[in-house]
Amino acid sequence: MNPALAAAFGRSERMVARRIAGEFILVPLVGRGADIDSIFNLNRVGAFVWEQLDGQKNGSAIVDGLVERFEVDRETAEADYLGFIEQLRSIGALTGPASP
Amino acid sequence: MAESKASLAFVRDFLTQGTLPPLPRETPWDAAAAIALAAREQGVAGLLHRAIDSEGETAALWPAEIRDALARDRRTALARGVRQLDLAGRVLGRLHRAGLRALPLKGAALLETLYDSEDARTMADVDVLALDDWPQARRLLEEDGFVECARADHAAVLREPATGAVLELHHGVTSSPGLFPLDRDGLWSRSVPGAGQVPRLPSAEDLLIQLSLHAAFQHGLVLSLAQWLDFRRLFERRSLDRERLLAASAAARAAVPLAAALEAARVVLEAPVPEWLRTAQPLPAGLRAKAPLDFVIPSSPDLFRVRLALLRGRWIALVRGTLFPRTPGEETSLLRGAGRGVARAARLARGWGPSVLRGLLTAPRGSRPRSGHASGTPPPGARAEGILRSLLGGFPFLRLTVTGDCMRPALSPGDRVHVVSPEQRPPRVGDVVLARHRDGLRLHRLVWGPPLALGLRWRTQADRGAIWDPALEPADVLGTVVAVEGAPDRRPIRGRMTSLRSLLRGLRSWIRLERET
Repeated sequence: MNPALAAAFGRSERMVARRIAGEFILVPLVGRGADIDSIFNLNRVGAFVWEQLDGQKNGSAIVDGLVERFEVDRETAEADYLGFIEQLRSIGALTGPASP
Repeated sequence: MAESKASLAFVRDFLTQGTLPPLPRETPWDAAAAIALAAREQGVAGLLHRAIDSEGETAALWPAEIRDALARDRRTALARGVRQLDLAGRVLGRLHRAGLRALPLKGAALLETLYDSEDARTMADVDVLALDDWPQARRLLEEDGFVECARADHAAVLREPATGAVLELHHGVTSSPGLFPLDRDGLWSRSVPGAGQVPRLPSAEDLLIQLSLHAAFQHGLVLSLAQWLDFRRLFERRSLDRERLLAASAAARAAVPLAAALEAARVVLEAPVPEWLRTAQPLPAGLRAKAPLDFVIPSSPDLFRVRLALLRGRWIALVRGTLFPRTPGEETSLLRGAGRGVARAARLARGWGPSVLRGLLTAPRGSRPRSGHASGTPPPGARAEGILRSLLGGFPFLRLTVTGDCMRPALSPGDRVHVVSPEQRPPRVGDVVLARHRDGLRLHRLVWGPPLALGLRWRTQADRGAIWDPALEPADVLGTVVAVEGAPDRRPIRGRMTSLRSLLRGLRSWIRLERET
């Protein structure tokens, strides 16, 4: 199993999430005042994953949720999850991982 | 002018009714654009977009590009608001860890409780009231990297270079601190835990008193619609303890400002002020209700008259508090204090004198004809300037890109500079200012102006220019450059010596020109 699937990531406190106008938006607190170049839009899948990242649930459990909720095959769900986690890590949006 | 009044009235109706009024069917694009601009200027673009977004049929007339612009505004307001509240939380936490009590004021004190999200109402800056040892609080923040960029008699304006955020660290709620005494222990003991990013908030009663003092004394009862909406939301979303409110208001000597602000809030946005509160304090004649939009920016406040009416019977205290404010931790000799008092008096006379005279010699403000062009629509230049002024008033700073090289080496083409409003940093000789000239806006150095204008009109000049620019009125200066991005200390954007050299060079050229002609 990919180590990132066994790990439990949490949401960084330096990233604030809000839903506005049907969009799910992440605002990094390290950016400048009204700089919107550095805010991130998440799609439905991304928003679902973000809300699952509680520092307790590991990647495999989150992928199970993706398969169930979005009717996608496990291989695709894993690949999407891992790619998304990598993006979140690159912008400093995650804490952890905590060992299972 | 008529167009902007109608747009403002639309935004007011929207906030009062809580639903989106129908867009005029004729020229919907122009109407929608003007309304969107008015909503932005009034700090409620986010609320307008939320309403458009949630109301299918009524919203159908709104052009897609206007909706997109409002959506962008809303995202900007969200990012900014979230970061501003984070700043408030960090500052309050920092002071708390140092054993200093502090509470948020105004927007930072109400955004998380009176509004559903940070995008609903914009804030120009973050206000924090230091309850203990203000000089020490300021020092701590400066040690953490904040830079003081302006000082008022009741607060220091601090900027965090890393984030560009602006914080006002207050020791008083209004200017002329002392006129409205602060019960610091009472404020703290009545405060409540916050549920979001701001860890502690003033009680609903103290918040209402502070908003009222700010509206009435500080701004002469002229605010943005977002600020008037705060009053309405406070009555709708938080419960008030009658005895506690009346006791706190009496202790702060704020009964008249409270009554005046609540009456205005009732007139502007139909704030549901309870009857017991409406009848608690009779209003002085000078503060009686006017037309709703007279209380809303861009109306000009009659600050002098309002302050006199608010402090009837306390005029000596008003003069003393205005001319000789006391800053905590600063000892001032009698002579120096008197000198500062005279300077403040001269400044006020320049600012207030003409308007007071106008007020005494002409009809009441409400019936005075508005200035404007014959068509009722300002020319494009004036409109752009109006937008610039509005942005400077609504945001901590504007970022402009330098295009010419007449200010080398201080400023080079491509440099991005931060410009703040004259209220944030009153222009002084040596500053690079954004000024309106007959042929457009220029970023040039102020070579003649405060503190030694001597009643003459102001002068600007390019650092590489040989002659002065045409003379200016103070109102022609839209803002002051406070920073060059990427060069915090390197360039002399505030150069007294450069200014003196420019002034002398201009004088020499002028003399030469006079001789030749």
